[in-house]
Amino acid sequence: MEPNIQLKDISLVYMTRNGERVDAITNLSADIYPGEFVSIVGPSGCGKSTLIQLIDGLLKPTTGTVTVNNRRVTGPSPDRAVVFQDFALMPWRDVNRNVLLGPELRGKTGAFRQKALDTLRMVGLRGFERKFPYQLSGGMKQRAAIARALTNEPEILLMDEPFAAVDAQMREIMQEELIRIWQATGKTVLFITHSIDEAIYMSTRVLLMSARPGRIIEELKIDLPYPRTLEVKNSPRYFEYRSHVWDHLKNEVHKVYDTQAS
Amino acid sequence: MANQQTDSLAESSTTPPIITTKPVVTASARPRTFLGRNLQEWLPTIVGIASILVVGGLWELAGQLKMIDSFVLSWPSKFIPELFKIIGSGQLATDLAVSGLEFLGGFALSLLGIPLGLAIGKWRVLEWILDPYIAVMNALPLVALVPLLVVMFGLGIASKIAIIFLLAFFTIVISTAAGVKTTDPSLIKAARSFGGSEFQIFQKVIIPSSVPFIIAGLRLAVGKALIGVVIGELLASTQGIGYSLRSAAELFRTANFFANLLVLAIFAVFFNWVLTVLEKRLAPWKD
Repeated sequence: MEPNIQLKDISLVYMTRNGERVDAITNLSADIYPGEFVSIVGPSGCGKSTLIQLIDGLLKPTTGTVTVNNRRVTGPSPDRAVVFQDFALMPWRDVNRNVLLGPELRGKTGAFRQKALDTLRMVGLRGFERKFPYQLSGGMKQRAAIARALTNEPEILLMDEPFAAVDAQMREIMQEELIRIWQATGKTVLFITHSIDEAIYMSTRVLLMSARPGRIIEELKIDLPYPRTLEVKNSPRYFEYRSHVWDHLKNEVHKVYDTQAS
Repeated sequence: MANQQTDSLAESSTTPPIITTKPVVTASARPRTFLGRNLQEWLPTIVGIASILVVGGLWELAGQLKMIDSFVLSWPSKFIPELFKIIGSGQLATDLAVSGLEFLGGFALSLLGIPLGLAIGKWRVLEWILDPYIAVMNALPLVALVPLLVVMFGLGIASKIAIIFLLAFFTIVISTAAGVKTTDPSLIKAARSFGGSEFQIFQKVIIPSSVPFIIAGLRLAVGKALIGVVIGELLASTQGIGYSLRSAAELFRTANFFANLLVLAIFAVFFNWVLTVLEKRLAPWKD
């Protein structure tokens, strides 16, 4: 099978305002296949969010190439949609108009109205079309952000720590719902998280990133059945994966602490 | 808004209620209402009105007890009839027509500050070019220009429109440009990610996000425009509310002076209220 997303030897270097050179990502390569649910785990500041923006086309790599469906990425395109960590909903738009942002920017609002309603039903937001973001809870804003991405009918869903800003209980509910949506739509999901549990619980594959400059240091196929019930979560296999990931990540987290301390 | 935050999932749960006894609602627990609104909501208004009545009453009492020199100050029973007198004689209508025309003309022209502010916020080069002049015009007490404006535009309404424009325009430019620059970068990023062009981002993200700042600027500008009306008319004019204030003071008609002042206060409060309502309508997410 052809990979959906191909990252070939990408590096990203940028200069800070005080003229310091920062190597955000160095020689990162990865292939992501259609229909996969891939999580990327790494210590904070390892360039996980940067990676999402590179794949989306919001940023360009300094060297290397990002290829989506055999086409080199030069900018954003409707085959990819991002769910941002801070939701990034327009406060002056109600839920319906927020969700229709993508089609509207392409001049296709009319053709996507029904799709927007269907998506809102799927994420459990039917009946909230006329509410504004400031009238919604954190969990509902996150659903709206997911609905906005799905309404644009992307092939690939890029999610940047989407559940970081919702509370712990809502997070578990949202995880289950996202798996359900992923299974129902068959989309490729690239999911950024710093939670090992979240990554193993949700994904078909986990990629581990190193401390800055970010590289993929380990990849792990998660061979656990869906739906991932409490039994699956309590299985010895799950704990093996967990300690395996943690062993690899520990060193990287220590590196971050050491550089921060020095 | 707390009651709207119930999550849809929680609502769809079909678990039977654990607590079967109904909560007891006592009469005192029900909020008291007045004209359909909770009495609590009216309380600030009621206290405010009571405060005006008490202070006005004390003021009146001081006047009646001859504690106030009617030569330098007035009191309600003197200036309120005076207000009706200027309404009846048509003097107020004439004044308001002149002052109102100046205010509207100057303020309408100053709305050009909105597009200029948007442009300055958007293009940094334009900001660098114009910033020195805007900084000077904002810092300078522009009323110093009134004598010059009278020389340029005469004693009529044109010189007043000019000073009102100058006072209000730069305030609006500065607020609007600030609004553009404080646009949340993550909203811009989201629009770009969904394929928005630079023009679409400006039109659909930057402008709407600047609306609260534009309205705040308009509100400041209304205050400055009123200063412009009065100062312009006080210094050099033959009619208008400022002119009436000045002639009342010069003729020691203190009650008449206070009647005109009351009219001015009512208009200032009214415009401020209009903009508050406008803000709530156009930017309900800002609290």
